[in-house]
Amino acid sequence: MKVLIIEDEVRASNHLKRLLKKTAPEMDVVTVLESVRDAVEFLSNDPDIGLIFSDIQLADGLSFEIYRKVQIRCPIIFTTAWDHYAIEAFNTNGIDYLLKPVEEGRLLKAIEKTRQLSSIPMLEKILSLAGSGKERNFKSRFLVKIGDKIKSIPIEEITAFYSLEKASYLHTSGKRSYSVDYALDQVETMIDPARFFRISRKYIVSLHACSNIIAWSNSRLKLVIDGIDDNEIIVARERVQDFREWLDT
Amino acid sequence: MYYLVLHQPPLLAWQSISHSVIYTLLISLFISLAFSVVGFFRAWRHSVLSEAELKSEMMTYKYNSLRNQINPHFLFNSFNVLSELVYDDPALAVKFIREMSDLFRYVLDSRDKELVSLREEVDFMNSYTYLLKTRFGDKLKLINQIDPESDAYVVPMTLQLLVENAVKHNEVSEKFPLIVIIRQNGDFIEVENVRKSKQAGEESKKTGLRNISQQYSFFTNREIEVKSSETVFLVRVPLIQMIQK
Repeated sequence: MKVLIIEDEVRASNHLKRLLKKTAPEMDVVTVLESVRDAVEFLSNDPDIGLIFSDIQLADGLSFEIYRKVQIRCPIIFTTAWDHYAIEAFNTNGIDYLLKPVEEGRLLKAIEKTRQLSSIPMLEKILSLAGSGKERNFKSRFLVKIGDKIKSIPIEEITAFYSLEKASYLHTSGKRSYSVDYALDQVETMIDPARFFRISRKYIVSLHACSNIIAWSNSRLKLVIDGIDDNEIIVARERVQDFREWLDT
Repeated sequence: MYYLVLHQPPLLAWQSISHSVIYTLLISLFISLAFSVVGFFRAWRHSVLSEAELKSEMMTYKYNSLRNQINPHFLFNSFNVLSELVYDDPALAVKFIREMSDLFRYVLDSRDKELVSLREEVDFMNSYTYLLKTRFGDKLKLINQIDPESDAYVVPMTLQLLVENAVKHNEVSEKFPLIVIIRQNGDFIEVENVRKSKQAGEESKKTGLRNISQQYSFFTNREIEVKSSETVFLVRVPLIQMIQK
């Protein structure tokens, strides 16, 4: 199994490598990354990784930032010195949580857990449902304010969510935009991934808004959404493949 | 009858005037006495109160600094590295343990001290940075330009706190090594680092800096200065000179 270690202290990652060699020799540590920046870059190319060992406090921030930015398909075992992040860890693909100094027996248990999980063919499905904070109870309507009036917009009418100058908006099939109180990252966790897709940092689009798709430069895709006056609704390159698959399901 | 009342003999009039003067004096004396008693009592109570406040502030500071020093992240990350050193480099592991003991001994010893000599504090900071350097290697550079012969005093754990803050809030990586310079400038110690803020790290509550500022205010009118720009973060801490007892 190919393993990625995300850890900013060389001796700590050496220690983990040493323990892995002893307890699970079939684990092949592909690389060790020290920062959120490096990990995002590495993981957004969808590498062939079966398991991630992830420290939480990294050289340039918290590792949860990585899992917010890129979709991970494999389980994560968190390793940390201090355990006040446990709950957040299980909002990602976290399957276990090891305290430093990592103890051999405890590591072995975590690996056993991974082995059992990977023998289940549905693993990926389970992870994509349980992980990345997506809940089964998706929002069916969004509350918006227009001046001093409050209106409730059913999810069926929403064609897109977008962010503009740090505020976020939803756009309706009636070609109107309303400001919403949630950041796009939050919105993403509230809505049904079968119905909506995050095409870029700025846009989440609904399936029925995707009727007008144009092939664009750099193997990207461009969308035209009725009523949104933006010539640059582009599907980010690293998301094009997933976007195609999403349209195809 | 009328005559008598209107034209009293001169002696009688004088008596009545002197009486009223005495009464007035007595009354005003009494009033002023009452005021000064009240004033004195207030001042006394105030001094007792502010002494109590001072004490409780000191206690809070000490409690916080103690709690800050035995930072669980620091402790367990150190243990983690130690468990690798034991295999990888036993001699270094022994040295690491020794520095760690020195560090915790100092933390415990300085619990009941309000000030320590700069020399002691520098020794302690050296132990602390030794542990950090062992963990981070070349990702962390500490340049110590403090005169080891200085006879000034500082609040215990000041330097360590400033170094710890620099590590906590800035990137420490191969791509962006963190450089911290500690130098003496007149009667100030300056701790300076180039800024490379973490994207989303621990939120800064500034309690550490606030605590030491408070502690310094007990000993000097010179304040801790923080100069923060886009690129550089600099803290200036006043050195305290002891007058010969």
